[in-house]
Amino acid sequence: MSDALIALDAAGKDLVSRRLAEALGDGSHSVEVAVERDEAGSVFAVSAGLLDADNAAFIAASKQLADRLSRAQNVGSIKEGVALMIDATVGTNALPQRVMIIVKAESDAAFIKRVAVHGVTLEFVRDMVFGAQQRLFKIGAFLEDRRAQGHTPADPRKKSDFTAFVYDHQMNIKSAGLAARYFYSTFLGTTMAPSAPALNKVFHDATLQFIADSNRTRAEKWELRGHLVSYFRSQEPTISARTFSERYLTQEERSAYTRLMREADVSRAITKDTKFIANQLKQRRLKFSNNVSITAPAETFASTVEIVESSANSTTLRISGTVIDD
Amino acid sequence: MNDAAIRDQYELLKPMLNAWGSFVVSTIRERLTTELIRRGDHRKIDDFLKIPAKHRVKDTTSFVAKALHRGKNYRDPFTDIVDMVGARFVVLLSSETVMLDAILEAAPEWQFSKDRDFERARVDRPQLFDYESNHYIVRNERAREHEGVVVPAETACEVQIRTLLQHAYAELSHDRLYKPECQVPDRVRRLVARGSALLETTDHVFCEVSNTIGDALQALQAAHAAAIAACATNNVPLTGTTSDVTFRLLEQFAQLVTEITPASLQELMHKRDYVPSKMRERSNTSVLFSHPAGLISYWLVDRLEGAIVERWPFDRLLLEQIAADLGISLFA
Repeated sequence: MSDALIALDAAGKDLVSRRLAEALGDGSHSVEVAVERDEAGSVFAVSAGLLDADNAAFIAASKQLADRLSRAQNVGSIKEGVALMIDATVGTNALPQRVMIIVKAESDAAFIKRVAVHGVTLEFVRDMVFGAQQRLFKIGAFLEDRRAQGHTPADPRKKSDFTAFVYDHQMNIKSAGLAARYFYSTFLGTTMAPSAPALNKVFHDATLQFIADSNRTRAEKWELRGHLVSYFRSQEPTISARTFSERYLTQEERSAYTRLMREADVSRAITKDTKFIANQLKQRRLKFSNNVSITAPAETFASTVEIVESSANSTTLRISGTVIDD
Repeated sequence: MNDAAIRDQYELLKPMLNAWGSFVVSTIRERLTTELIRRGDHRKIDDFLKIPAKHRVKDTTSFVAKALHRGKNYRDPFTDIVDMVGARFVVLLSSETVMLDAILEAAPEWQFSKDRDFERARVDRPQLFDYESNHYIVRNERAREHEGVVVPAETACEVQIRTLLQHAYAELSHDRLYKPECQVPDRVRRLVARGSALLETTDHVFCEVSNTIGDALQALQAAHAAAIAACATNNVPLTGTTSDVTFRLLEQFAQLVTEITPASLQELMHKRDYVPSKMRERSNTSVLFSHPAGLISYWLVDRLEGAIVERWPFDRLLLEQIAADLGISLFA
């Protein structure tokens, strides 16, 4: 393990900032998580302490974190790589926020192209890191939201003063399996955020609002609301505005939608948890102007209820089913 | 007066008529040059005028014929005949004749009357398609010396202002229709009227083409100017010397150009207050950031996020860096 701080030049900082923005920025698949273990000596406590550490303490503590990471990796085939601790500032000049970022970057093999007198040679390297391949990164970030009054660098930090994020490509694929768990749970001591039900509801309601305000016809709005239900009911472990827009929205609608979701603060991926919207997802209801309404199970609504025709004062429906009770 | 007397008197007048015609043409040309510059129109005057503007003194034989032999019974041909000297200005489009009309009508050096007004004729006789041109008579306001000749007050000059298409019509029809040697068949009149209608339609189409191009160009220039101003306000030095880079970017995102306003750029700089310092910092690594296009790029990435990727016209790395500065994930 290294005993020195690496001073990156401008081009190096730019490279790191591109990789981090791609993984953690607006529209990325990073997920907000909740800090579970924050006791003295926990990864959270050590990391948060780094924000105020001097160089010697920073080096000592980051070695400790790297060691913890290597011990956490004991499941399946885990590739070797490097662990980087980055003390950074994000946000605007008016509202800067400090953030402690821990990156596990797995090594990749590549060639270095060299132009020599006799032509181009390719030199093989087996431990290149920080290439563009997102699947080679796992990132944890503790973003400092506020500092308690009268806080001194020696005081332990409270988890309520931070928001934690994780980027791990294994959390976007079909299920958030054991492979991902070693990083966000065993190592970072975080859980899929308990705020997820609320964020799911914000996502759901904001999207419904977007659909209502869109220029779509009534039938197209109806169809899109159906897609929203299916998206929430799918097996994917996270939801994201970017994915939803790419899958279901037109090119023209996308930027307005992502802007709305950014304003609603749901522009990153969110752990799927439909606790607060379960009823809306279970039953779909079609309401008419005269207090008549029709409800049906959401997943079969589209296939069983068809709006044949609708005019200013009447609607014709075809329901593929027979009356069994009246 | 007999032929010989009129001929002799007219010959004596010719140098004066020549001086007056020359004065009228050079005065209008001078004002037109100034007006084009004032409008930011980069065309040279000789590109704007489709036929070189020259004055022409009526030749003696025509004058004598008009004075005595066309049955017009002039009391004094030297004051009643107003086209002893004439000048013609030919422009491309009817929208451009308006500019010349205004210049001529505003000149303090003469008084004008309009003998023939094609816009008016279109209103008065909408069903008629005929010779179209604006004919003015301008009369010297006070005696003046020009090119060493004294031009008395009240000296007249006929000025025709017409489009190239109207000119073509006049040239095509004049010799065939207005020479009284023979009766023109109705069928020919009908054909010529049809030709005139067609030319008017063509003119309208090209006026619309010109306006549409003008509007699009104006929108690009407005966005360009807004970005330059926003950079100046925020102390971002722009050393880029050409507008090509910026125009290339703007053309790529033409449907968003009208949204790139001073207000929306200021909003970006407010919401993302680090953009000016990032631009200053990055101007060493890429010329993009020394052009207004740099600021517009930040605006576009903020606005379009991942949707920008396929339409981005420059190096991909620049786009990634701009997105990283804004904390936006492009390819997720």
